[in-house]
Amino acid sequence: MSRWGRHVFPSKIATLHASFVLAGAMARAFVFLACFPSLTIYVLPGIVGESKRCLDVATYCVGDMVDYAVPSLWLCLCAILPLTETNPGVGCPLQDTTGATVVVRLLSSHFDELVSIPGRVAPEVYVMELTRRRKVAKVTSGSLVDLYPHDLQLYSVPPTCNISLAEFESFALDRLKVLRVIEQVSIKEQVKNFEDKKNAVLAELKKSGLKSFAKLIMGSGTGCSDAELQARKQDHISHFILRLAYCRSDELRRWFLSKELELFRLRFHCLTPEGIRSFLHINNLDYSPISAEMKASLKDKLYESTFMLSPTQVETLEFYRVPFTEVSDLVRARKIYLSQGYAFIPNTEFISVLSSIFRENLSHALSLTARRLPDLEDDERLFRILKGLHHTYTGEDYIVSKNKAGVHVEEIDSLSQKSFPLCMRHLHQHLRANHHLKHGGRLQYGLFLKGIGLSLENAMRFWRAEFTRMMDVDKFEKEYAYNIRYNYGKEGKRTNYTPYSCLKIIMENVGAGDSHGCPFKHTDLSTLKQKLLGYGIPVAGVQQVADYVERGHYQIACGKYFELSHGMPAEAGINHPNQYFELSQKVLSGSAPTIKTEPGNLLLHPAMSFVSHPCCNTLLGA
Amino acid sequence: MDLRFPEVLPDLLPIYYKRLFPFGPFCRWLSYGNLKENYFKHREFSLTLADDVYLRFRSYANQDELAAEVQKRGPYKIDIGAVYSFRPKDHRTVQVFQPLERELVFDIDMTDYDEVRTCCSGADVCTKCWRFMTVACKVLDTALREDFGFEHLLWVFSGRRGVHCWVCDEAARKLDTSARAALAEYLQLVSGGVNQTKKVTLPGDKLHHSIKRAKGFIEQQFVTLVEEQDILGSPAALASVLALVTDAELRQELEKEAQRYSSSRERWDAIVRYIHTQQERGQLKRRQQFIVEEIMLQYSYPRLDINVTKGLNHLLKAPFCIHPKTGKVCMPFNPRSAEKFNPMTVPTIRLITSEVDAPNQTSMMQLIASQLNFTSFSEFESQRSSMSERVSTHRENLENREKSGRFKKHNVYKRDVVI
Ligand code: SF4
Ligand SMILES: [Zn+2]
Repeated sequence: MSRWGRHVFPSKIATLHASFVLAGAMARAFVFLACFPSLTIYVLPGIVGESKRCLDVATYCVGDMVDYAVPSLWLCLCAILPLTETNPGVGCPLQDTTGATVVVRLLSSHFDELVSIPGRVAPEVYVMELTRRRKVAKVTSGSLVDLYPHDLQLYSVPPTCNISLAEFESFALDRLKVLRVIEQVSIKEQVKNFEDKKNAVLAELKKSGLKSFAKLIMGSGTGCSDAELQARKQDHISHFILRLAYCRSDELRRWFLSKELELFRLRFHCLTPEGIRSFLHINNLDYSPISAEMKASLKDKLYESTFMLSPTQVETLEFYRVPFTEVSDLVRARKIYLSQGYAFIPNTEFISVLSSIFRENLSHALSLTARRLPDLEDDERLFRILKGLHHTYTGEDYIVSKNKAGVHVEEIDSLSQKSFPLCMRHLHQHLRANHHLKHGGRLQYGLFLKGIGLSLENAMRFWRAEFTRMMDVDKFEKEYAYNIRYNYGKEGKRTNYTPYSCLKIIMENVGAGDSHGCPFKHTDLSTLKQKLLGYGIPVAGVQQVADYVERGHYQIACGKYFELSHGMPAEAGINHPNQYFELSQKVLSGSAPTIKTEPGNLLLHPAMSFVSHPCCNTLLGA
Repeated sequence: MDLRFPEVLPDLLPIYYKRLFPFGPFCRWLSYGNLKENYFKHREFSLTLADDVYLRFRSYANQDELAAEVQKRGPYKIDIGAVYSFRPKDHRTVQVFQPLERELVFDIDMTDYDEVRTCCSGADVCTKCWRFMTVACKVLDTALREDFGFEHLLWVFSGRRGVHCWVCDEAARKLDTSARAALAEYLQLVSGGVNQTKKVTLPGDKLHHSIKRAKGFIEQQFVTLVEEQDILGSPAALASVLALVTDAELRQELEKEAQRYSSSRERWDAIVRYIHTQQERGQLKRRQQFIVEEIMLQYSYPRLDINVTKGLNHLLKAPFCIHPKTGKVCMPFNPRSAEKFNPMTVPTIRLITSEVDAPNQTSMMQLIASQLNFTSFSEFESQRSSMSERVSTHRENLENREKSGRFKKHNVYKRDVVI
């Protein structure tokens, strides 16, 4: 490859180094590529937006040595890529050099902020060896104790340390595993309180070989052994790498944000009182409680409006007065006293304030990062790692249906009975019965249909046929056609919208008159039971489903329903209606992997005679 | 309702926009004292023309530009959107085009009450079901003022079957979507779709102050509602109330009690009486202790379409538009006397355009005026049409707003934090 075709001459290094320092001091934006005897590539703090200019500087410095016709900062990074195991690379000048040192500074999007933070502009340079084996970074200068004084961080400053590409990938994957564990625990395990949850998460983490992370959660908060410091550093860096991977769509951002937040809350909960105090102090969050007089005058209000508060607690707990916007979750659930835009929270609910700070920072940072994405996408190889990440571990987004043949309008009725999850089956029935769906329902159902392979033309035909039984074609074309084209990214922001995941559907707000949502959550239990019986689920099975529902495990309930109607469990759990559909189709077409129960008695039409089949008991007993 | 309204609109709208539409106050409102230069210029308007031609992302440099376009096109509807980072009309030419601010808005639609009202359904309203709206206004208005500290609330009748509320305080305009969502959900007590019968469940063993306060307002009206809507009269109606009682034993007892009477009113009294005695005897189960409240709230707590409230860039119909189906003016009204507002007698475009050229027609105007509870006739007669009065309520609102805008430039919340 010609890009890497030319080689570097060590003799020029001295001059280079000089101009490197000089230019670094003069220019405010600082991307450099300097080639050292050991073929070190330096990518210094830079502003991606200004990368063009930075690269001019870089090319000026090294232009005569390496053919760097690089369009962006991130292309600089691709110089390192050929060294990873996954990508042996060809023709790179670095390729046959052992011990090439790669310094990648700055993985985050916060370039501007970084530059403006005094003391961070020209930080120590960590150098580490990049070989084909993965190694832990060696710290050459700077103190990790200063950088990472606490187990828990708010990730407000991006990392300034160096990391090899191999680490880049492994850090990212490890953190992803952590977040997946968090997700799995909340979907699957029977957790009632933080303590249960903590134990479940810890056990899972240990099982997945993420011991250092487990230790981080268990830690005292403020220790400073080397292992602790390294774990914190990895925590920090991996968080920032995932930001790059997860800023690219609303759905990804939402997922990442909610999992990171859950992780943060869990970790905060595990801190000792001392750990909490020092965390607040380190992060300049020294809130002061309301005065005794104020408390006395509000005593009754505080008592009646603070959730689960006893009269004695009003006396003993400290209360803080914060803008209601900082405790959204408490406001939303009406758990605190609210007056004139201020919320009064007891110190036991303090995590709420922190969560909202955390959430706000992160969501802001993600949208900033997203704006920088075009710079990042210039580099296809790095881009591929980041882009693939989510799907490697959490499955599809179902934006584009894998069903090449597509789905025909005529099939929908029968598919809805065989393979639709309940949420969609209900919407379908509602639509057929009322010839109308409200906005939320049209979105939820419309996107799902897109995900199973209903083309735009077919979708138009489908909705038109149904709606026009209630209204004239004209009205439909004017008021609803837009909506459908919108789902397919043909109107409005022209985004190709993602079908909703279970998480989103379950959290969705369902107002009076709405028919969308998840039936396991948004339907009265008695009605739900009736429906399930009507679909041919045996009484015992219905009871099992209902048990899960009562404990708030809607997705598990859905998985159980799948199992009962398909005769085999949904191994990975149900996390997306489209996943449910695809799984169901697989089972019905017989292409599903091996079956758990006795052979020969499955693949029955769901909701058919399965109920009375002998294997029923085995299954139900399981 | 004049059924010919859609047909006469093209003739009347030009007169309305030329001579009556209050562009001055309207634009003054949306400029917010011109504290920020581009506030008005970056505001999205959208116009719906005849045949549902829909023009989005319109923006105007000033009142004259807006008036000129509106007068030229005679839109059936004008919607107000957010204030963007850039002039909406140029949105295709800029990279970063984002909604920055907008009023916090609420939309209450009578159709959401279909499952609890018996007098009408769908698009129809009458004075009986309007009572639900008045309760909703009271509850919402006080909550916004007391709990959230907002002062500048503009309530508008939507022209057919709902009301809108525009919260114009600076702090409200600056709220981000997650804060809006939290606030909206705080105020959304009634939730759950068609598949959920019980839509209000009060957790814990105490009533939150906002609920207690709402209960106070609702209690004043509830008995009337029970009678007017005949909430317990028919067997089906009675069954749907009793369905809200989750405890089977209690439900049977209540049914027995209720069956001893025949009218809605007596039945309701009997139910309340039974529960209260049980409560006094300490025989009410823990989960059932707020059952009376839950029933009342499910029937009359404001039913919000919170998606409108959550979004920053949701469009909402501007005040003073003419509703294309009814021809009624979208009028601001005073939430404190919401019960005196009668949607049936809101002036129509036909009426007010006919007044334009006949300033002596005081009798008709007086009639409307009295029904709308206009207080000052002398002032009223000096106005050109029955609309001006409304404009002046609006103007008062504006003035309050401008004043407070100047004095409290940074009217955002300050936290008690040492940072
Ligand atoms: S769990 Fe998911 S797939 Fe199942 S019904 Fe609920 S939303 Fe649909
Ligand atoms: Zn009515």
